[in-house]
Amino acid sequence: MRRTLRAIGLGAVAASLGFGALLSAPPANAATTTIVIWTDENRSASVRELFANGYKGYTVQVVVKDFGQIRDDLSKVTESAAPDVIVGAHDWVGELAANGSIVKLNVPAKAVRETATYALQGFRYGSGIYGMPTQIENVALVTNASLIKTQPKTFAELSKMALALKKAGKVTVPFAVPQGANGDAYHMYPLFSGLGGYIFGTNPSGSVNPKKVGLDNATFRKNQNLINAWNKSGLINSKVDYGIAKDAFVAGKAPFWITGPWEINDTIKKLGFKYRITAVPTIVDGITPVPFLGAQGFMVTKFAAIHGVQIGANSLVAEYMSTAPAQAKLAAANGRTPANLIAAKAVSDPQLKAFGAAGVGGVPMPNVPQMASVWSALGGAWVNSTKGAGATPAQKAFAQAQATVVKAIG
Amino acid sequence: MSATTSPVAPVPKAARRSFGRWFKVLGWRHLVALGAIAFAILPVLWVVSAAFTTDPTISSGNLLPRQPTTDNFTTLFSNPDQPYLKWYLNTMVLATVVAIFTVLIAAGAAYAFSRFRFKGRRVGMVFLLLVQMFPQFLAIVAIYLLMAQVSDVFAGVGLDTLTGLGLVYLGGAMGVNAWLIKGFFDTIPFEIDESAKVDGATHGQVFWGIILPLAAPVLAVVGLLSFIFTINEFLIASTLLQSPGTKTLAVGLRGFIDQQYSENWGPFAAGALLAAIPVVILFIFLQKFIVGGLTQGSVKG
Amino acid sequence: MQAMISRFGGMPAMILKLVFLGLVNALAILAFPTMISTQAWLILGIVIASTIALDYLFLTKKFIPAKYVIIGAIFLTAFQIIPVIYNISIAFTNYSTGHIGTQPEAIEAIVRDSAAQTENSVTYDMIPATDSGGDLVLILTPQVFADEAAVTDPATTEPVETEFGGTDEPVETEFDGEGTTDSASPVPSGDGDMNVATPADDTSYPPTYIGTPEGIDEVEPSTVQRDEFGTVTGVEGYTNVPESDLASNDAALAGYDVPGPDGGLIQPQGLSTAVELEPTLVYDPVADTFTSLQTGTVYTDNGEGSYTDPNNPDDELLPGWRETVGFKNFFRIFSDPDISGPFFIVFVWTFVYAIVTVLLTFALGLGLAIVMNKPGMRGQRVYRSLLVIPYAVPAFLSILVWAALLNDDFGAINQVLGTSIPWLFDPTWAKVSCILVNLWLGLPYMFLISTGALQAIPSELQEAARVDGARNWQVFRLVNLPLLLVALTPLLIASFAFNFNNFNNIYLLTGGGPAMDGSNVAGATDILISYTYKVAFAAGKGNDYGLAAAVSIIIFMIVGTISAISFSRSKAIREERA
Repeated sequence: MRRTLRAIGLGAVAASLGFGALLSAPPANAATTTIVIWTDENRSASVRELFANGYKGYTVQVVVKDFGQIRDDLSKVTESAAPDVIVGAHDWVGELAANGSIVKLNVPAKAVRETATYALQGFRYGSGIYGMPTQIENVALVTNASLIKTQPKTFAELSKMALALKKAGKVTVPFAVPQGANGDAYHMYPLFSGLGGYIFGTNPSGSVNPKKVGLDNATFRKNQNLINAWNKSGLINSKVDYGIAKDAFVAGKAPFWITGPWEINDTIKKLGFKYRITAVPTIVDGITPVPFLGAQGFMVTKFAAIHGVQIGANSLVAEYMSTAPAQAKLAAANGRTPANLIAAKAVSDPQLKAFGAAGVGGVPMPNVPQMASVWSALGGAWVNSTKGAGATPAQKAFAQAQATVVKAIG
Repeated sequence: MSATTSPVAPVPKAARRSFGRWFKVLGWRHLVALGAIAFAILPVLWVVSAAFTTDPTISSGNLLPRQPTTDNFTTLFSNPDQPYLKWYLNTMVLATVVAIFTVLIAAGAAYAFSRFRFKGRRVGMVFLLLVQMFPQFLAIVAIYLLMAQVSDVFAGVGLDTLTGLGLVYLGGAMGVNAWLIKGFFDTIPFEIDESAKVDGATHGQVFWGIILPLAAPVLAVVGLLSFIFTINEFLIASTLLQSPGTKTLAVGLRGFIDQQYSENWGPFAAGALLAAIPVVILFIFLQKFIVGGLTQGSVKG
Repeated sequence: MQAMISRFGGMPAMILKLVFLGLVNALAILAFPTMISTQAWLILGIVIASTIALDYLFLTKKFIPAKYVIIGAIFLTAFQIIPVIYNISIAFTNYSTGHIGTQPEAIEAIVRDSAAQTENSVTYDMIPATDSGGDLVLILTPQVFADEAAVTDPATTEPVETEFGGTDEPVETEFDGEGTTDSASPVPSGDGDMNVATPADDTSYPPTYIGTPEGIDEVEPSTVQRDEFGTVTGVEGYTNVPESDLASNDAALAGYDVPGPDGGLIQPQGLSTAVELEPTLVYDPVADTFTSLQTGTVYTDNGEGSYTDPNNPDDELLPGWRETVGFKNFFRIFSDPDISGPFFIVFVWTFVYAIVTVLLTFALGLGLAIVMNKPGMRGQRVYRSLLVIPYAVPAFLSILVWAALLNDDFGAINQVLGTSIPWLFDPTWAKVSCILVNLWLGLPYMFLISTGALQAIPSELQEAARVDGARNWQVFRLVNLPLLLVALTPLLIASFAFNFNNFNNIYLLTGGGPAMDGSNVAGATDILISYTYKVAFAAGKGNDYGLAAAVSIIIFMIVGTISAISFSRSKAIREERA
């Protein structure tokens, strides 16, 4: 009896709910005319604004993700949730292109002419361009003008001034180069390049040659003793991390700071003293210290074709985001220089212009998939040779870094 | 380590004793407690300080803000793209529901393992723990793929839903928790349930009516641990949740600092501070269950 | 007691159970068609197995213990066991950067990316339109530019030294140096179209073509419609596709090939640009090979998820695809000196780290729990609450705070103590720091479970011991501790395993550093899991998931073996008591 009761109850509930489910059939799949863009928080507002009314008859859906998550999620996302366009950094291109996650663009000639060449080259991988740069950035030397009355013309002068201030007890950090336990090759690169170091050589055609690793090249090796000297004098200390560097400079406890344009609005313009934004002065005669150039831009994913919006996504990225008006809007919100030269020329923010000027001759960050090992090897070598007492001599540290990178490139 | 949980009755407060004696019995305990608290609180002070400082850095090292400000809290509540209140609500609801189900699931497993003898019992218990020792490197990828499939079938519990996230969390409900509860169940004499069964109680009635109420302290501990776990869990949540409206605090707050070089520690610290409040309140509330059983002597066969 | 427990039985419980099972069954049936149509076989399997198990177990009188375990077991299977199986299956593949998709996807991507501009390729301005028959055509006009560069790269201007005021607005810009600048005069940006040629008369306009799948046809210049700048806006006899219809024509445009004059195919590259392209690689589906049209090189499937030139195995077409590679990842762990070299040192430290952390944290947590567990001690509740606070702060945040506090030269700890201990930059001290921070992180947990477990000790036992004349310490050692250990040993073992794999603490605190001499990858505080992370994700070409999975299996075998041995010993403890 009881058993029967159970069976009946069970059957009744199941049948009723199941029947209801059949009645509410799933909606038919409409052809998509929506372009999905993944962007980070910084740019989300301006990207939304740009496409508030869609794009040329396509609807545009903006999905906000943490910057690094955009790259990570793209490799595992399912088709239905995948983006057609992503916003990302140019140094992702190697990995994403090698995965086949992003597609090659044939950038319109007009866009090529209007875009900073190195920014476009930054998005080059193999034979093609895989993204449209929209913003560029580089670090520069910010100097506390009330501590340093005349801008040093050479690095030796800079070093003397900084150490004198430190000795007088006026500053705690003589030269604020953000590093920390794992190093930060991006911030120290002007010093590295000023000593003759480079990451990859170039082919005669000007493209990057990853087989020619320059972490321990002859010129640099000749000048490596300066790193040991800076470490010994305390001019450069890798225990200064990003936060310490920033705090010290803002508090007037560091005369020199290496940082980038992302600090302009929140920090630099609010400084309580006069300051200058310049390039790092010459360290060794004949070698100009240059920063890395980073570019961010828009890329079309392989999913655009699957979703049936390939042409629209291409158009949005290569034909629209390459234009000056679009980039001006984007850059204005994000405080970085537009990659479009017309939009860049129109930048009126003097601080941003000063950062741009300090980037002259800069080197686009390489974008090969092996960059993670390059960053950690180079950053690690610098940290180890500038960690104060017990530091590894630069000669040894960089030779090891060179070996690591050569092996990783294979 | 000289004294322990002696069942000595509380000494009347009025009793006059020398300081030396007081110190020997209680005073040193206060000292130890204060020392431990100093150690525990030090980094938390930074969080408090950062929450009230404009644009702090992680290395500020100031344990007191120079010019206290509530800007960071204002930021938290002002950006519709970062709906902090919604995250807060999401997290609290999720953490509460997950904690309740975790306790029930773990207690169920613990009951089976403590009160029944069946084939595969030992193996099952060891397996429970061992499976959680597998380095979860690619688990995230697998969970993502699984939930993506679930999305296509049950949209309400798939990717980007709190329900789906809660279900994933319940995957870890048994493991250590079942062991912890089982350890407690084992100390409840079997005679209690035997006598109830003689009176005609079913196994279900013994479980719900006798064992669970007696095990309140350990259930409170497990519930609290699960609650805290949910609030702090970041990896799985960040993989499954995407739209601002469904995020949990751990995921949402990370958005303030996961931006290259423009890390916004102020709102992050402020948000983390506010998130810690319910945990502390919950603990204060649960304390009477956790410690209350001490003198009542839950075990009166 | 009878009254209390009778609430939990009888008809209401029965109905509750039936409603629950009904819901489960209904949901399963409901999802069935969708699961089949979306080919969600894994989910289908889980759903069917779970439903049958639930129905059976809750309706049978047998297998009582299983009723209490089944729901937890379903969740455990779905979200813990299946991911582990997935992990294991990955270990036998080459899943890594460049090898994440399927072979057909890779072929498609190689073909797609191989399209390159022909030698004399022209870029066209394109307008999608329809002819009188309603068929899609492309109106194509070669892009031409004025000769002089209208745009100069600002990077060619001389750097200047400008001194900015320290106020909110940079009021005046003082110049300090000989450079000059045009910073005060922003160039009007116009609409971005300023460098398109605007020739004076019709004759200098480039020709306009109609592109169809048959080829391109130059149209009579007089039929070309232009705007005031001379830009082509349409051609008589053809209707431009309105903007609202562009989206629905996307797929048609994406597949639209116009044979071009240079031997390639003119293909839309957007909604207003088309380029003449030709493939550089040709795929032969029968032979499963790619042939380069320029060099004639034949690329074949190398069996490891790539098309390579057999004569030069390094010449590889990207992307590749995910392929089963057997034990290759495992062989690599043992044969690559960069991986196997520091393995032993890292393993020893991992072991020490996990053991010391657990023992120390447990000893202190238990000690504190006992100290606080004193009747008559005032402020207990406040103390306990304060001790739990660290647990309420996200570990991610507190570890970074600790890293800042421990900074050798600038951290608060050295400043307060007046010391200059190299907490994070000296190999030995960094290890101490790792344990210290982990102690801080784990203390509330150990304190909580110890406090909970202390409640489980029957006071009768202690009283009995006391009557026998045992002193406090003896009571603790002989009565409390053994009982506590019975309850907590499994948790301690789990805690050991957790710390064995405690990636976050190491990664955030020291990043594995400082660097270890003689190893390119491993740092002095790297534990196996953080080391694996470096090897698989940061030391090679992108992310090597296959290798990471293989190492994680080996780590699991190590930690699993250690734990299993500990279990068998703790089992002995349990049986002693029984």
